[in-house]
Parts: sequence; C-alpha cells; structure tokens
Amino acid sequence: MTGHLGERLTALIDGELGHDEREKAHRHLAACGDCRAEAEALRGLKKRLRALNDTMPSEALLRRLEAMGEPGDPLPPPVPRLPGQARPPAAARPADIRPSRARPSDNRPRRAAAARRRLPRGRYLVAGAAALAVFGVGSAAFAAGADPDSLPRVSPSVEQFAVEHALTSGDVPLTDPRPAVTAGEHP
Amino acid sequence: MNHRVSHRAWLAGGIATALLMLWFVSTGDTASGARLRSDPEALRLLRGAEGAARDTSYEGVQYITSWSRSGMSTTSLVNVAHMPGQGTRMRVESTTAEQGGQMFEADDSQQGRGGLTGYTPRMLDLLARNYAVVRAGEGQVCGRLTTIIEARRADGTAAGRFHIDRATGLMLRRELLDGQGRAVNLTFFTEIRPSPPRTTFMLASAPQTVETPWTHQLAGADLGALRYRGWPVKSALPGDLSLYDARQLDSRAPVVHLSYSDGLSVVSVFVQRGTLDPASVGHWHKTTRGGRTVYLRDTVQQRAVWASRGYVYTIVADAPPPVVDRAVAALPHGDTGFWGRLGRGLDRLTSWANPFD
Repeated sequence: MTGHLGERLTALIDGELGHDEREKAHRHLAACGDCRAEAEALRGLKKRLRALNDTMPSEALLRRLEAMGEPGDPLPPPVPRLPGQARPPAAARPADIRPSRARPSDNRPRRAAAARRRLPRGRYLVAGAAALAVFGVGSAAFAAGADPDSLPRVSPSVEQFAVEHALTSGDVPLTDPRPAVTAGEHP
Repeated sequence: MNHRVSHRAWLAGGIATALLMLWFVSTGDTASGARLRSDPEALRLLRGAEGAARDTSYEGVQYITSWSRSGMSTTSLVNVAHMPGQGTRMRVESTTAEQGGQMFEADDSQQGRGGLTGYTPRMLDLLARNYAVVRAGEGQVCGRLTTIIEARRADGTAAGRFHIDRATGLMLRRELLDGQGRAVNLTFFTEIRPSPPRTTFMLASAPQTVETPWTHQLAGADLGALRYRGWPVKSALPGDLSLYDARQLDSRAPVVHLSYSDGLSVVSVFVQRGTLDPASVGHWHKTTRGGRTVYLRDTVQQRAVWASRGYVYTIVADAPPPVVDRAVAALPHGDTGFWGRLGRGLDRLTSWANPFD
C-alpha cells in the first residue's frame, strides 16, 4: 500500500466512509504508523470539541439574552447608593448589559429615535398649558369685546370741542374759518 | 444634562432681567435722569407770568395766527380784557373766522393753562421735564421791553419762544415752532394797556356767545371707573404728552375731554360712545393713518376725527402736525369685525388688570 489516507482519514473519523472503504482504511492504519498517529490526533480533537459542546448555554438562555438586546425595553431600576458608597464599576451598572449597538425597531436613523425617547413629557404639558391659556384669554377677550346691540350714531360737535379745548388750554377760542383763508400771512 | 438646563435657565433669566431694566430706563420716569437743564430764572419768569395774568388789570388786542401742514394760515384779532377776581373776556374780531363777534369768558380759576396766561406749576413741570427752558436775550413787543425765554429741545433747537414784559411780568408773545424752526402757532399783543379795562365798552359789545369750560372735572377714581367700563383713557401719548386734565360737561354727559400736553403743545382728545356719522365730516379731508380711515382738518387748530371699536374720537390740538399724527396713531383704531371685537376685548381686559393706564 502506497501513500497515506489523507482526506479519507477525516471521513473515517467522522464515520462517513462506506463498508469497503472503511475496511481498506483500517488495513492501512494497521500498517502505517503516521496515519495511525494522525487518526489518534483527530479523534482526540473531536472528543474535546464534543466536551466543549456539552457546556454551551441552553436555548432558553440564548433567547433571553437575545431579547435583552431589543430596543425600547424598560431600563432596570437604578440601584440606590448609600451615603459614602462609591460609584459602582462600569461593568456592574445595569445599563451596561445592554448591547451598545442596538438598532431601533423601525427603519428611522438611530439618532432620531434616540431624540424622540429623550423628549421630556413636561414640555408637552407646558405647550398644552400655553395653548389652553391663549385660547382662554382669546375667548375672554372676544366675550369682553362684545358691543351693545345698538350704538348711537354720533356727529361730533367739533366747534364746541374747539371752544372747550381753547378754554382749558388758555388759548382764545376760535371757530373754524371760512374756506377762503389768507395764505402765508405773517404779522 | 441637568447642569446644562440650569445654565440655560440662568442665561434666559439674565437676558430677561436686562431687557426689563432697559425697558424701565427707556420708558420709565428714570428718563428724568436725562432731564434737560433749565435756567431757574427763566422758570421763575414763566411762573410769574401766570400770577401777573391773574393779578393785573389789562386790556388789549391779541393777534393769533396758526399755520396748517399745507402752509395755509388763519389769523384772528381778539379784544381781551381782564379784571382780577372777575375773569377774562375775549371778543373775537376775526377777519378769517366764519363767525365774528363771538364772546367768550373764563374765570380766574381757568387762568394759567398756557397761551398768554402763563404756566401753572403742573404745566411748568411738564415744560421743564421735556425742554431746556433758558433766557435768550431781550426783545420788544408793542413798544414794551421784554425778556425772551426759549424752550429748547435736546438737540438745541427752539420749540417755543416767550416774551415776558419787564414792567408787568405779563406774557406778551408766544411762539410754537416745529422741528424745522417754522412757526406753527403765534399769539401776541398788538396793543396792551395794563390798566382797569373799559368794562362799559366790553359789556356794551353785547356778547353773542358766552362759554365756560366744562365743569365736571374727572379725578383719578373717575378715570379708573371709565377704564374699567372699557373707555380708552390713556395716561400719556407719544411725544412726552401727559394727561393733565380730564372733564365732562356734567356727570352724565356722553363726551369725555382728555387734555394732554408736554408743556408746549396741547392735544385735546374728545371721546364719546357710538359710531361716526360720515355726513358730519363730509367736507373734511379723508385719509388713512395706520390703515384706518381718519378725517383731518388743520385750520385754526389741528383736528382729526375717526371711529374705532365703538368709540368716536375727536382731536383738537395746538401742536406741530407730527405730534398730532403720533397721538392719532397711538389711540385705538379698528373695525367692528372679529379682530376689532377681539382687540376691543383685549383693551378692556388690560384696563381691568391695570386701571391706571
């Protein structure tokens, strides 16, 4: 028998060879020390991989971990610090267990979604109160501005007003002149 | 984040405080800190003219001319006689007035409100607050030596000029000047005799009309009540015009007369409830001020009539046209539609909140 098993050795370890091929491989291993050593090494590696697979987290744990990465979940309650207690290390803070690159649930840019979450509720309250105040003052003004049903029609007594103006201002009362007045007349 | 909000709040508060202080400085009486400096002797002479007009017997002829904004003038000659304790009688012998021969009288309590009758302490205070009152040399009026006094604006130009008789202390000439130095109103004696008037002549002239000022004066409480009821009673108008007198013909009269002055110009605002009958101002000059219709007539005095928000306003003024225009613009204008009613209501709400303005 010439040559080594090569790729067929891996197939033999994985149990993927047929009956005849397996018999031939076993006969070669009996005669070839190199291939036998390589086969032992591959079996050992596979055994360690199986052992590693036995310690993987369960499916339920994996689902819970994935669920914690979804955006919009409520934050865990802050841990109150006692007086004098030092700030907990970053790794121990609850918010830090959140994935740092969590995507928003919709297709909007991450910054806009974050800004929407940061809008304080008080601002809406202030805006609502201001709108309500404007509406209230406007309504009150409209009601207060109502006129009586009928207002008298007035013809101002301008000549009488002119006399009253002159008497209270100390000037001589003068009535309205005729249309023909002297232009630019100076003393 | 909290630190940033706190910083912004302090910044906004600081800006608001600065604006408030600026407003106080620019509009409040703290502006009196920049009052123009007057000559005490000039103020004393003006104050003395009021006492002289009240205590001196005299008679004479006054020449009165006023110029309109178009340059037209109106001139009147008036016989004047004054007896201490009895009042002043004026007989208009006008050549350009429509009605000559009218007779007016004013008792001594009406002395000292302007014109040639000198200045009351109130009017003198307004004059000194808004102008620099100084002596400006000597002059002559109808052959009598006078001391000239000028009321100057902040830029040094004369806004008013007075001649005070050195012998009697009477004011013999008064000029009201606009910003370009042109005369707006001129009143002076062409002849005067400081002696007991020939009352027989005055009485024999058979007065056709005797007028006295409206008797029902409105105090602060009366004005507050009017404001509460929505009447547009302003305590001041632009151009440093202050409300110094308010009255009605009687307590139930429908017209309120509000007198404003800066010490020189006098603007009377007559307010009455109702809508304007256009026929009553049919021959007036119809124009617009601030988008509203105003009827103007500037002959003997500056006159303006308009209606707004349920009130009719009539202005009669001895003042330069720009002063009257600013006063007209500052008073309410509006129609009777939705916005007019809203504006009228806001005026009333404001007057309820602040009955002093």
